[in-house]
Amino acid sequence: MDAICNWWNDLMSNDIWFYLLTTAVKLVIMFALILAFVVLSVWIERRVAGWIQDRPGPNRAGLPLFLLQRFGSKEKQPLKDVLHFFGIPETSRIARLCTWLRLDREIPTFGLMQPCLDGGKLFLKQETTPSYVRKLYFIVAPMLVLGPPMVAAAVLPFASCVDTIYGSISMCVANLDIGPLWIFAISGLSVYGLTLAGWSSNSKYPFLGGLRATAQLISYEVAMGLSVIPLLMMFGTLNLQSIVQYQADNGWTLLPLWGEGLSLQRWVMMLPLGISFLIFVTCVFAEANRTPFDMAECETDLVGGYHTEYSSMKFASFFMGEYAAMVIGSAVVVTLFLGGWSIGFGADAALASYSQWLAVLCQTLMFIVKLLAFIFFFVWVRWTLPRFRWDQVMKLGWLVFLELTVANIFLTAAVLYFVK
Amino acid sequence: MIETSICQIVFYVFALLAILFAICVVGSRNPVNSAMNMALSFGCVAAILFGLGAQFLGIVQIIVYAGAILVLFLFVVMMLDLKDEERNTGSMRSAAVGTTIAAILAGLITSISLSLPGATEISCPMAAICDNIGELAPGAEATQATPTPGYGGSLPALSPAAAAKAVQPDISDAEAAKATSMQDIRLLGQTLYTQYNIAFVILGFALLSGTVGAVALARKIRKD
Amino acid sequence: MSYIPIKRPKFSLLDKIYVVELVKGLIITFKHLALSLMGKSRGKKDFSNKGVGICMQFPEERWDARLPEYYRGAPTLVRGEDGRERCVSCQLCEFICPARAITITPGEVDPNSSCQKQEKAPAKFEIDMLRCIYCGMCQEACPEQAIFLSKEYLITLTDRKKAIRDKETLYRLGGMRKGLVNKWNQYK
Repeated sequence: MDAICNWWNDLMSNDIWFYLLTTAVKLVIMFALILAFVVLSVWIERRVAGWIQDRPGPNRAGLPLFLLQRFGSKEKQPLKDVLHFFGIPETSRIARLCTWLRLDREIPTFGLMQPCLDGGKLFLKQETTPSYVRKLYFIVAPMLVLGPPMVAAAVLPFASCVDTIYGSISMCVANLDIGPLWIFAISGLSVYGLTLAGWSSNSKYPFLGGLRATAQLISYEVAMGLSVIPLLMMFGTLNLQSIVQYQADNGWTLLPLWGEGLSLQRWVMMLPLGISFLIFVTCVFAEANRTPFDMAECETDLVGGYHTEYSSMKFASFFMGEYAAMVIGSAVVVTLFLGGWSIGFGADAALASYSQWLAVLCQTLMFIVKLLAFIFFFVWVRWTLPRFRWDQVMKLGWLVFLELTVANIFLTAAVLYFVK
Repeated sequence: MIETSICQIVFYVFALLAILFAICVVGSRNPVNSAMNMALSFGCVAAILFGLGAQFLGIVQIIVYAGAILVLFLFVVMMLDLKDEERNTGSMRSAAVGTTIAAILAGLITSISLSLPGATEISCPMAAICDNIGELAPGAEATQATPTPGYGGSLPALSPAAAAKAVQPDISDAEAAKATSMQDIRLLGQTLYTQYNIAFVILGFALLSGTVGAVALARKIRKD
Repeated sequence: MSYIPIKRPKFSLLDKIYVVELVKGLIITFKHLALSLMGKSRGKKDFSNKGVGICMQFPEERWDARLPEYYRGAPTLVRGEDGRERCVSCQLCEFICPARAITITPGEVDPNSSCQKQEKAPAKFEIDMLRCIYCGMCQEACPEQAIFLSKEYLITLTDRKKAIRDKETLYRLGGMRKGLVNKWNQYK
């Protein structure tokens, strides 16, 4: 036992091994979080779409109890056994509640199993590759769509840092000094996937979809990059962890209610930051190819857009890539504008002084709650707005947002200079 | 010494890959292949920049070149009739002209990089810069908050103060210490807007005139 | 052809900025969301379903009681009030069936039957429910009022062979029908 402890101590005392091991753990957590959120956001999308359209949405796909019966419980309903065990009569309110939840037939998952089962179905479906496609790029394209959002997630902080006896662990896979730029650069690479998918399909509608995707993503990347500059001017750093730390100490970007956030300058800054927020969120919608901007897969005029020729798991990776982009987009908005992991009102520092691990846990939960709220907003907008026309999308990107963001930068500079 | 050898290996791997992909850009008949190879080559260059500690430059390389300019290339190339392009065999004359221009450019870049401080002292380029920094600003390591691990998690990142000294060898230690609180982005911005301000503005005008020219060419001329 | 230009609405600056209109839209959809979560969606009273929204939870809740008189479900064969087999095996339905779901083998009338005038009766009468498209043309074409579409709509099979319904099944499903014209009684 002592030998193992010693070995562990030696291992963790080595800077390189400490760094590698903690990074690996954080990497697994982050990756699992993103994949779970992809599934979850598909579910949220379908449920919320249902509610908005006065439907329940997918509410079945529970784990059926006949599976249990097959493993030995023979003819008997497990629910009855359970009720009997606790001595609850079968006509009581509890029993009726259980029946209402369909517990006598299945373990309810409220439809959460639906995306998993859909994924399984897509995985088992026959894969058809048309004979006329350009094979190499046809196969590479779905990977290029799914990969970048996952890599981009590496710089997102999901909690503050913890001091251990071996060293400090920052709860962020790669604490780079170029956080937002890393995300823009890497998630911008997914445009290759869309373009190559459109081109390699060798068919006209996918091609048009690919072209639209390219033009749209490039146009909105410009406005997106420029719209965060006011923020960076205020924070004075590009490290996402320090940006969130600043927000935890001095009020969230859009909620300056404590710390230095109560100064006049921060309140005047709300104007340029509000404009930034609107533009940035719109650009995130456009970058994620979400509905008001889903020109690339607009089914009314392009069949299915760039993924028309894809089937089975290749189609699924486009689908997952789109949702992963949405999750990452929401996470970036939450990190930059809504305080990231910070709980707010000085609670972070108080919790951290009590127990750092507890603080980290609460902060992670807070981050997840904020992320879910913003994903809900994404979905809400999708089921409210109709799709824009193509020329409107281009006009908005180049003639409105570009000018507005540049003007906004000057406005921010003026505010920072004149209002103290 | 292990660190030096690791960083040497990684540097040369990426450098070789960058050159390999660059050759593929010229060599492949299919323009889309060329474009994709070019993207990979840019990626390798970005990786080298990351290894040198110039994270900002590396990421800008990806955003601007791989993420925007090359996608536009691809955008245009895809609309070409590829069969026509693949049949084309370039003439010897254009090859000769191209080689000459490339050679001149390579000579220029080599001469400039050799004239940088400390370039000829140590064989490994990354170690050269790092060691150079160590000599110039001995207090740099102590002031670093959290060293960002580079290749193999062992290479100390380029400290801003030392980098400031590396770029402008004539600044005082006090100024270098002040630069510690800045990152390479500020450093880059300061250098661009002070030392190379005129060149920067002239470049901006050149790009602007190019944009205006493109718009003028693309715009339909109405007769009314 | 005269050309009438459509009058487009003039947008004010506020409309063009779009944010206000967007918020209005978001409020509308949120109202729907909240109401359907509370189970108070518009039109819910006329449609007494349980749970979220105004959506029928199919296997548990069914439309059966509200199916209209003219509902076209699975075709069945009927007997008259006298219990007589009405089909005379004229094969008009077989010919008119666009999906070729019906197969009839004509045969003799059952010698024990009360009416022997129609001379023929189906020896076999099969409808392939995998082919049937519920168009109701057989019912329309039948000169004997022998085939009717029932209100049965839930045909779930685990075996393709079970999809073919034979004469006995069709008569069992059709049952007896009142008020049909008994034209064979008029002829001597």
